[in-house]
Amino acid sequence: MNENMPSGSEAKDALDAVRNSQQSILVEYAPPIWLRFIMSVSYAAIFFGYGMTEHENNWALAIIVGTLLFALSCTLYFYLYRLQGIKIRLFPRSKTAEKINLYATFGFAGLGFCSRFLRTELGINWAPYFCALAACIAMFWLLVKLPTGEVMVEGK
Amino acid sequence: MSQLDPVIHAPNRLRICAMLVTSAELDFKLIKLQLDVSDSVLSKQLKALEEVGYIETKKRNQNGRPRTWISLTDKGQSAFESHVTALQNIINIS
Repeated sequence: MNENMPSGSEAKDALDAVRNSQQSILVEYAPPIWLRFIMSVSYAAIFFGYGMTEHENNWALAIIVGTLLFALSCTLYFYLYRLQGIKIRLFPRSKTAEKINLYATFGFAGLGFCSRFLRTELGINWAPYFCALAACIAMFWLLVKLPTGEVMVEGK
Repeated sequence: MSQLDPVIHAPNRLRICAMLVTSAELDFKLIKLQLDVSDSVLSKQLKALEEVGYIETKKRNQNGRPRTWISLTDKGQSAFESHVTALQNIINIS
């Protein structure tokens, strides 16, 4: 065995230092919670509008307003990070984060599809409400747990 | 089996890599603030990482002021991941 090999406690200390450094970046510098809430709600508005839109109703406006608000809040989110000296990645690099993003993409696509299909084809009128709420909670959770899109080094 | 990387293993360099993994690029000043070290100490640590191709530094002007941005390369990312796996293995064995 290599004599330069750290002991178990040294390795644990090193991993703790890694986690603390990442925690600082992910938590201390994260944009305010109200901005993440606006991002989640505007994202949900897109799902809700899509589920409720018919030929001649005003719900299409919810999609437009939701999209605009979401784009604006995302821009502000990126800008606030950049002001503090952090440029976040659009697409994550670690395998765990990639996996989470892939699941989220399929999940959101499924919610979008169900939001409209369940109401228009099966007559389940509460489906857009449910899907929008689920999208809002999922987006908020992602923005709180993975603010820069990357995951922290896991504990033991 | 993952090996410990002697370049990354130094405490400050390990923390630099840990921070860089979370984002695309970090400002020199932010890293300095987090590590609580002087400019020269941080520059020395960054140079060691840059020499082995683990990080890249770019200087850009923002509002007329030069700002140094540091990013982890793909090589640096995989070296950091292997190093962390090696540390986790040591903890599991002990």
